[in-house]
Amino acid sequence: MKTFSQKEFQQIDEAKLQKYFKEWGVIAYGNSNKLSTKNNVAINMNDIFKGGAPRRP
Amino acid sequence: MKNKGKIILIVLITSALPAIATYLGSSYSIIDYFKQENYIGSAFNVDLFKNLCQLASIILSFSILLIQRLSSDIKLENSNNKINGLLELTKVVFQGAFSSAVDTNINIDIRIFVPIKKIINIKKNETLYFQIVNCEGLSTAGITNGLKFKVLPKDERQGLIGNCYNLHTTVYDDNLKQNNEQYNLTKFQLSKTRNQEFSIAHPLYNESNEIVAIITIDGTQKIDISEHESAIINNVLMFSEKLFLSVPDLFKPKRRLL
Repeated sequence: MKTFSQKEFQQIDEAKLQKYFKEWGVIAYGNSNKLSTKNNVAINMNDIFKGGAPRRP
Repeated sequence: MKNKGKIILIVLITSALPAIATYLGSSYSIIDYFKQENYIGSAFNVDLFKNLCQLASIILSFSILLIQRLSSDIKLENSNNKINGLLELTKVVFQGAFSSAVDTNINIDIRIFVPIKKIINIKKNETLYFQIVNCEGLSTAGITNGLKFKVLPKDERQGLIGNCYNLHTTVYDDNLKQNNEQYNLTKFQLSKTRNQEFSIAHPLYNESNEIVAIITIDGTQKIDISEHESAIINNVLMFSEKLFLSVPDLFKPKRRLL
């Protein structure tokens, strides 16, 4: 297993780090079906303020 | 196992020492016995010995309690720092997912709002407020301290929090600067939320289908949530439920006496 020394860790490219965080995020939070059986309904408040009914569901 | 034994021994000794000193300071039976058996001579000053024992008992009790309190406070502080560090990492990873969903790098703040429950409700009114819980790892603390929104009665609801509570679903606004006036906010609330460009509020339920907390994800960058709605709401739902399950202590209601 590869481990980083303090110096190597400081040299990690910030852009690469952001890319990894994005990948981890997509893996961790990309799919909600595992936890909830409800439909993912959200209301856009702009629709309410315009006076019309919400677009969804 | 060896550590456990050591801890038990230390606790036993530290608890027993002041008790022994108190006993020696108040009882004559042991001193009398030692005198009878000639272990101590007639020149031994019993009163002075008893006074010293009482003094030792007071000093020992005070020092042991002080050390234990300081030690547990330091340990608690260290644990809180670790939890905040982990929460910050969780936020960064969620921020990554959020940025990926909207195809742009974005900074977000995650805030938790919990109900203020009155222990004694004299007026029997149905007013309910949700107040912010600031977590260092999840958002910039300090700026929003004391922020709360009325959610009941329904026609007096304030902010996205009030709408989220009464509509029983996730609500969002990606045009906050323009719409802020429409949320029945006080000047204090407006001053705390003025910089926000978007906010998403997601309700969290208990087994009785009551809303026990609301998570908001907000930011100061202009984005079009409706364009990426499905992906963003999926992310928010997944993150909120995981956080709710993993750190339930963050979602405890605030108690007020009156």
